[in-house]
Amino acid sequence: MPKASGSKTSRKGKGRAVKTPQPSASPPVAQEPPAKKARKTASSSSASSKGKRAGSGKGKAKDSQQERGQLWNIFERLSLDAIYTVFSHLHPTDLLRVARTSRLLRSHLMSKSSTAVWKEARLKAERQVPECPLDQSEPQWAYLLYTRDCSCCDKTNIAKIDWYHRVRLCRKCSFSGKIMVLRRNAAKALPHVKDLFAVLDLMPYWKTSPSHHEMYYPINAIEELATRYAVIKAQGNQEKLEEFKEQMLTQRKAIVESVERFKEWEEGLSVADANRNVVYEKFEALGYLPIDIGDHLVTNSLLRARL
Amino acid sequence: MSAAPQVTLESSDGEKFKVDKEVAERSVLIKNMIEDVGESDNPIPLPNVNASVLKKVLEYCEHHRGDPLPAADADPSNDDNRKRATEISDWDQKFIQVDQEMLFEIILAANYMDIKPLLDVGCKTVANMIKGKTPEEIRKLFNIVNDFTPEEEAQIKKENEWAEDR
Repeated sequence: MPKASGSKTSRKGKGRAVKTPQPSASPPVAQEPPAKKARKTASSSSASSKGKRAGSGKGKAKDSQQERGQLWNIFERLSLDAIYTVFSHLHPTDLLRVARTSRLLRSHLMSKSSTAVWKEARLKAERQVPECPLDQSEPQWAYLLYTRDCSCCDKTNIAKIDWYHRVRLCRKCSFSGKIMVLRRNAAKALPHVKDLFAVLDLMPYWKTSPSHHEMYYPINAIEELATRYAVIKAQGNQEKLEEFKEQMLTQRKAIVESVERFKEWEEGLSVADANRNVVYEKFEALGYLPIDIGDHLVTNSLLRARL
Repeated sequence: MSAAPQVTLESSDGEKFKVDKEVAERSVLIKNMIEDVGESDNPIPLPNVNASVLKKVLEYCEHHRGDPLPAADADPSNDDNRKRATEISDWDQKFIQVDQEMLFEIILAANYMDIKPLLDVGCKTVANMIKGKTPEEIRKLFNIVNDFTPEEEAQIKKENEWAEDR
């Protein structure tokens, strides 16, 4: 916590001055303080009750908590416009992290009305990335592109994206048989799924390599689609079933086409990266320091990128 | 030759500041007030801004008194505009090097007084403070109370669908 000490007294004084209620002009500013006050006391009282049990050692922790309590949470007092101005200067990874800090900030960022903020962040980021496809939300897209977490476990630093299913999976999760299933193993692995192959034929699949014949499908997507399929089939209307199939195939086609685009972009990225590395190394050989060369030349590939 | 027209501003704690009208009018709030009320010798009250913050804000307005007003129609999709939008000038950077409490006060004052370029500088600075930090570090920095349960926290890390509109 930077700047924690030193300005304690000034903080107190100024904090009080600003709480002066103010008639019109800027309602969020005028209305927020009482709510915040309530929360502040709640957090500091819980801190002190915890502190009691642990004895003298906790004294310090309590102090710093109280000190922190005097610092107010700016997001509770700023107008929505100003909050969005802050957001508009962040990288998508930062937005993802801010969206995990509290319910208030999450509700701002995970609302469809924030699409523009995410888009802006994506466009401002150091690398041009593909447009967010219709089947993804902007935050999902940011998560897929910019964080390198396995979508199913705690593993990080996963380089490969399964563009068909819009996930990053670590080797273990890819091949454990619990998340993805091979087409040829599907009947055995999912005996409860009716019309299994009819359903699989409607879904995009992932191959470990283009020449490879093994087709992988995500189990939860199979189950979900099978349920929808069964519901429509049970209605006994063949026409409706065909319509549903048609719709799913159109969706699959759109996904497959989008994957081609993404792969093309990915290839371009690794070429650009290689070029960048060559330039960078040349500069370094000439005796320049990274700071001289500048961030824009430092390889910061999305596929190896910042967490 | 007579001096430039001046106005007097009064902070929440009663301190009076006499400044050139041109400087005060960097604030759209004050500009509108002067337009509405007409010029007068009465001080303009700013019940939401205390003296130390107002002093700082006026320092900014003084430095930027001759700047062209920001174009409302700047195209954000233009690369130049986008780049400019993320940069803070040297003077502004020095100006905004204050403790966090003052930074927040300046942002709130800029918001209230409607001084968009100052609000932008403040917001960019806050954004720079956030960059690269973990959620927990961001919470500490801004005194944000974590109101998620540990289970929810683990869940939201991977779930990023749009929330249902309510």
